[in-house]
Amino acid sequence: MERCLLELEVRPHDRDLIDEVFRTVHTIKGVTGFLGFSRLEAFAHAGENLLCALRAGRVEVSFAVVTGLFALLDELRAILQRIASDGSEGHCSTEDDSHLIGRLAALHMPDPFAATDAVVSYGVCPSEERDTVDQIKAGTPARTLLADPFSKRGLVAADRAEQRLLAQSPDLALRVDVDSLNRTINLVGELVLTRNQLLATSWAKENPELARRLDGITSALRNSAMQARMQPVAYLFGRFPRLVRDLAQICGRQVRLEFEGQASELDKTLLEAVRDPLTHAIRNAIDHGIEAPDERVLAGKNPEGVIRLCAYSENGMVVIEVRDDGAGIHPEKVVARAIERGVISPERGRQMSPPEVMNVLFEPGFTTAESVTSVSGRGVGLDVVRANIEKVGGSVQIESWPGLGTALRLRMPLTVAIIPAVVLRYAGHTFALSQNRVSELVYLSEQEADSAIETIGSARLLRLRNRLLPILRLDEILGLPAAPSPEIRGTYLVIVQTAESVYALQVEPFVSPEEIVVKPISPVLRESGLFLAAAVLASGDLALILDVIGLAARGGVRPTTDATRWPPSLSQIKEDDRHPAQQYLLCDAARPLAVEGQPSRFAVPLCAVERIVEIELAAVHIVRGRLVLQYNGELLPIEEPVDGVSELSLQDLRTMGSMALICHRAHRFALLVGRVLEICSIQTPGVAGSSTDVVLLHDCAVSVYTGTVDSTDLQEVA
Amino acid sequence: MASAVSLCTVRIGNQRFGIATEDLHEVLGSISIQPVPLVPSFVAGIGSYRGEVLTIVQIGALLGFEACTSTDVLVLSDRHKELYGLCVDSIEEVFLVDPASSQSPPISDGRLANLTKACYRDASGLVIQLDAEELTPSRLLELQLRPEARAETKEIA
Repeated sequence: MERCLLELEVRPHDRDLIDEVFRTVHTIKGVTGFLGFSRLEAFAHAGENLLCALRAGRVEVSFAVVTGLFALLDELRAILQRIASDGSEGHCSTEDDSHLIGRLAALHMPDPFAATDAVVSYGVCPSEERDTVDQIKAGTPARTLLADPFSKRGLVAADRAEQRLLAQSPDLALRVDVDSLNRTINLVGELVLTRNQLLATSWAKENPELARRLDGITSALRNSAMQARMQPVAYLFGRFPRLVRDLAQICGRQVRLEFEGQASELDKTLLEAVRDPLTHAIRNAIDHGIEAPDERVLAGKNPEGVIRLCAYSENGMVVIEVRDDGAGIHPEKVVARAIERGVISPERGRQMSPPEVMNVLFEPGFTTAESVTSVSGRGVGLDVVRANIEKVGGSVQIESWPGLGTALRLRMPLTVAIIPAVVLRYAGHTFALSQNRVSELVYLSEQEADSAIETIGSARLLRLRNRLLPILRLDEILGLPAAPSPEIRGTYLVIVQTAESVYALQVEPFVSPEEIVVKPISPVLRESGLFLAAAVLASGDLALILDVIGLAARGGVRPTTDATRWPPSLSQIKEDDRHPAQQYLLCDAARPLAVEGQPSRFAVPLCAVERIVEIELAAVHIVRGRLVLQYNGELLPIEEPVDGVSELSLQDLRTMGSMALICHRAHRFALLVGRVLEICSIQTPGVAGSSTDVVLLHDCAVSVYTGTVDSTDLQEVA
Repeated sequence: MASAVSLCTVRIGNQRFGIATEDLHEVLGSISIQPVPLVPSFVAGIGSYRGEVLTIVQIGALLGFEACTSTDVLVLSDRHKELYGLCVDSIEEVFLVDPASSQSPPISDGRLANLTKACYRDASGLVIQLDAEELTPSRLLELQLRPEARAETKEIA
């Protein structure tokens, strides 16, 4: 009914819509009369009378009429909820009831004076409406004026095609209990684990065809089970037209809401998690972003502001963007207010770059609103939005163009159930860190550790690109016995970034990236504040997911306000290094080389690496004797970083259990690696030789991978 | 015995305990229990069960017994159908008892008294029936934190 009413505002002469609303109200009236809910019946009857008049054409659809119908809808909904919860329709003073009924009755009076008076007496209508009433009373033709405000204000344009799609979907969909769906997904998870164990047995080697099919079917089953939890974002967006209409009315703005990418899908839990942050963002956009109509005209804009809700996927994440064409955020104002509120020091304020200024907006208690309104301005704002989004593994970003508008981007993982993580193994324990929290992995050889690690009192600090980061030892924090392993040379550090701090976590070298399935754990295990949840790994082992904020607190890392300045911006890096240096990802090759004495360590330009993935055998196919990897619906050739090795076979992959970098040069391809060590800077190699150049790094010869895929091969494969 | 209770008897330390089979979800036998750092001593660790993470408790540490050496795990459920694991040394048998034959538990240990639902005697000795409601991780945490449990024990001893 809400949808119909909103559409009715846009197309006031659509008879079908009026009929649809009428039928709904009529049904409520019939059923409630039958069941003896007299309050409901009275309301429904009043609504029906008004709609009857609309149908007969005695009254025209106007802003006031639609507002009245919305009030009726809200009241009906409230009573229905009360009935659902305690079985009675509740008692309200008959005066209040008759007020609304009287108002609805007044609306279908042919006398426009009575109608507008009723609206005014109800007290919800904005002051402009009162002006209208005054004008009407002054003798201006009523009908045109009544039609006027609604044609301009609070209009909502909805994407018709997608709306229709939504309206149809109930016929094609089946309601399934979420619990039973989750149980199915869990069982599929078990099946995947059993498959993994089975594939490792001799049976799989004896029956390669069957094993492959089992492998493929199981993976497909898991994907489709996961898919079942996904819902189009349209379900979420559907509630906003009404919100925008009401808020625009309260704030005295003219706002049009536009949608894009409503068919993008997101896990149900995530949809629920973004609902509040998104409501908040829209509220901000209307109250702070979009200017009042007269201001907009002065600025040379259309008096009607536009809010665009956009959903699209990017790098395996779903991005939901709220963009307005309002006043934008002036960095100077933000800095001034932040200094005034003591959020930052005046010295820092002068040094900040525009993106850093935008991050100040996320500080708790920060607001630029001049006054506190009922809609916003209490300073409980973006920090809550960020906290909520980060809770589900997402991130928030604001971009603003002064005078032109602001965009708030919520970046969410596709599903909460599966997140990319870094898995750490430590003396019989397995832990996982969300990859979103890991900014880089650092490996220091023994010599380097001497110069890069500084000690102040009992604290150890890592000097990394001219910044000192506290080092936390995982074993110390968790109270695990230190496992002296003489075979480990050098220091392995995971650089962890939280909203408040950046620190280096010293770990054992057994670090691997993995997609993990997140499972809740009992509150007793969360008590220490160090574990968020657990995960079932592909091997069937359990890993505890570390809470990076809890680790920082226990490790005594103090929050720093400049945490958001990490990783350093590009300009900073350029200042630091006079010489042109490029960032490389240092890796070990997957296989030892055929020729002895060649370097097995190599570096790949970081900018070319999209992602680090674990290769699943099921996703590897052989096309014309070459191995290709099925990745996100694409076929990527599998490459090896160094020359002089024998042709890669499926058997090799099986024994290596490999990892690959998804790289992007002229084309995308998968580069096979043994393990990933760290990000390092290498002065651009001067000599262009074969496909590789060699540099000295960590006392070890490292070949720099510059080769690309032969594009003709790729086309054949495709 | 119109409303006979069926009990599964297990051994924890040197003591025989009984668990009502209606509280018993599944007997897992030996599974891999992964220890969790920085948790109360009654948490043996976590295990994977039907794709979910199961918190496994051991009551030995609470009652002053030696920690379980075996990794046999019973999956129990409380009245909210919340599942958790109980680590036991060995699993014995299932037998029927008449609830009317329950004896008032002659237990001086305040903590053990808290976990006990009833007490039965059969041919091979005394069986203490544990209360599945009281064995959940969160209830055990309350029990461990409760100071009077300890005081009471001392007094009687």
